Amino acid sequence: MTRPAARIGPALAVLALLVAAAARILVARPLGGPLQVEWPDGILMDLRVRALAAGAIVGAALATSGVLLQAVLRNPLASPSILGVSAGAALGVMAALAIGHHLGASLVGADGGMVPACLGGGTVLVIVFGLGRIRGWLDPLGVLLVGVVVSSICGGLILLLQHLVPHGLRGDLVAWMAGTIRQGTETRALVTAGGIALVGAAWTALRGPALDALAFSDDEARAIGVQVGRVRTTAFLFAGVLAAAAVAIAGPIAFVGLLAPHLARMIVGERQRTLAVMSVVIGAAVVVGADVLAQCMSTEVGRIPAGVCTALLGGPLFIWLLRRNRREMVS
Amino acid sequence: MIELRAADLGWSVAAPVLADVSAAAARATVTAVIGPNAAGKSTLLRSVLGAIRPLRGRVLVDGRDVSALGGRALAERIAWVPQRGMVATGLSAEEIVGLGRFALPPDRGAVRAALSAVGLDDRRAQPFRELSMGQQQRVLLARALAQHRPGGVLLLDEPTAALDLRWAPRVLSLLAALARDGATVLVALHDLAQVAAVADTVWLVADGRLTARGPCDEVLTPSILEQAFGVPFAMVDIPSPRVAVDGRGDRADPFSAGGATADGPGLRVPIALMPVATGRSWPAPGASPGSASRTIVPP
Repeated sequence: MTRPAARIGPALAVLALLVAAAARILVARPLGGPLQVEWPDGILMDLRVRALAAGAIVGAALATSGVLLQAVLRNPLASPSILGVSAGAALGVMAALAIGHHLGASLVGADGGMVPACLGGGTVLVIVFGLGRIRGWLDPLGVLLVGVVVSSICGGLILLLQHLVPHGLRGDLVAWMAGTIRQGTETRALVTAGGIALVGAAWTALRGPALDALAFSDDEARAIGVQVGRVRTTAFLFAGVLAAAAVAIAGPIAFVGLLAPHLARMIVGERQRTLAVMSVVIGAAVVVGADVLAQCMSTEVGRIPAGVCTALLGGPLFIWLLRRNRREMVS
Repeated sequence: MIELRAADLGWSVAAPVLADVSAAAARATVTAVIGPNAAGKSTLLRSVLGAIRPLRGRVLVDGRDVSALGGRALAERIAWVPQRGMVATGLSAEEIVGLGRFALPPDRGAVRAALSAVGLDDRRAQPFRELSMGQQQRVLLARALAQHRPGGVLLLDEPTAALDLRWAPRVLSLLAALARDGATVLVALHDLAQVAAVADTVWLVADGRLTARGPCDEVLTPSILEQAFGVPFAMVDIPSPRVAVDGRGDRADPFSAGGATADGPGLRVPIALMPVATGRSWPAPGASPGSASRTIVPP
């Protein structure tokens, strides 16, 4: 029996993405001004298309990272935020910004800080992956707990950095940490992150059956022919790089890596191949939609970052989903 | 064929779970692994799967070191049925059985046949997490059946643990049939009646060693079992009124539901003697020996 969500859900998700994309191009609100719906010309169109691309890439990358981590750790609570990957990537970029400021040189390139983000996120992954093993075997709960702790440590180091840098830079760092989709995101950053998101999503979809097998024990996956170590390591690598790419473009944006796979699972079920594709669509729709919301809610003093919208709306939505699923399972 | 040559199995060289294991399970036979809890049955099976590398010695499947096998080479040779784990996947029964073909050419017919063999045709679209424990165990068995190739190895870790009185014998019958078709079946079991009925050979693990191996009538004796399990045993005769006789005239299959039948010789089965004073009364937990505070209503 096919659930109604499975029949119309995919079409609705694609429609939501298209509506959000159209809104991001057409809707704007100048600071302190009224809401405007217009076809932008010239430079405005360029800026909005860049913001749209950045939002879609960030959403897709975070969603795919969440799918991979949840599959590999057999835990629906796993996400780049909870495992500390996003915080590690953010710490990497902030450290690069702070050190660059101290040296009087930019250590964050035109790609938005992809290298320091990958270094930070990758370091966290190595630590979490290394400490979350027992007798050489991955312990999903152990990984999650280590991730939570490492995430807290990274958060502490980020706060420390904010206190150590000069006042002018501190404001920029705080704004960046809130998660902002910038209209002026550089082409190189978009191409780099877009390429990473595309390859990561394609790998996840292609290796879907192997990731399905990881839902069971390592022994079972091995017995049916999955190269467990290779698949898991590659999945971790992609999860880290995808989260780092998203952070490099927009800073840490909460809940998307957790929420998108859950919404996608409600629509298409748990086969990783279809889950990966649907999560990309939903992740992109959520971030672009949050950015539209951020644009519409501009205040006299500035715009609300998209990361604030995903956190404020995504958190309660996730709790509602969680309770709804629990009720379904109990009934 | 499975061979263990002077193998130490486990994780610690200083304290292996099983030490100096040398044994072979021949093709077209069922070998039952028995022993107390934590004696190393699962460790032995997982070592044959190649999931645990031997600390010393070698573990061979069809003459090849199993640790060196992986991917398709392993999937073609060995199918594995685990003890039921706490898996809460929402994949359907058919999708999970289909994973048995992961490294092999797709074969929808094999998947459907495997589901049919374990009586789950009508449950194939049902999410795994919504099945009962017994049904989940049958799904995992079906996955191994969809993967299994004639002449291959089947490793099963307590495959009847969650099955009811109807399905446990059917599954054992299936294993016996697969062995007759050339499979090497290595299965961990706790129920000694099931062992006596299905196994050609028994491996008894206890106290960190393979303490006995051989045909059922040599290993399943009260003295050997008492030494391993620490409780007294007695042999009882179980009548087997309708035993299907194998068409080729070799070992009888006591569980087969079809085919020609004849009166069988029955089974001599070891049973552990219970600490029951009267046959109707069990000592309550913590009660002094001999006291009986709870009465079992006789049938």
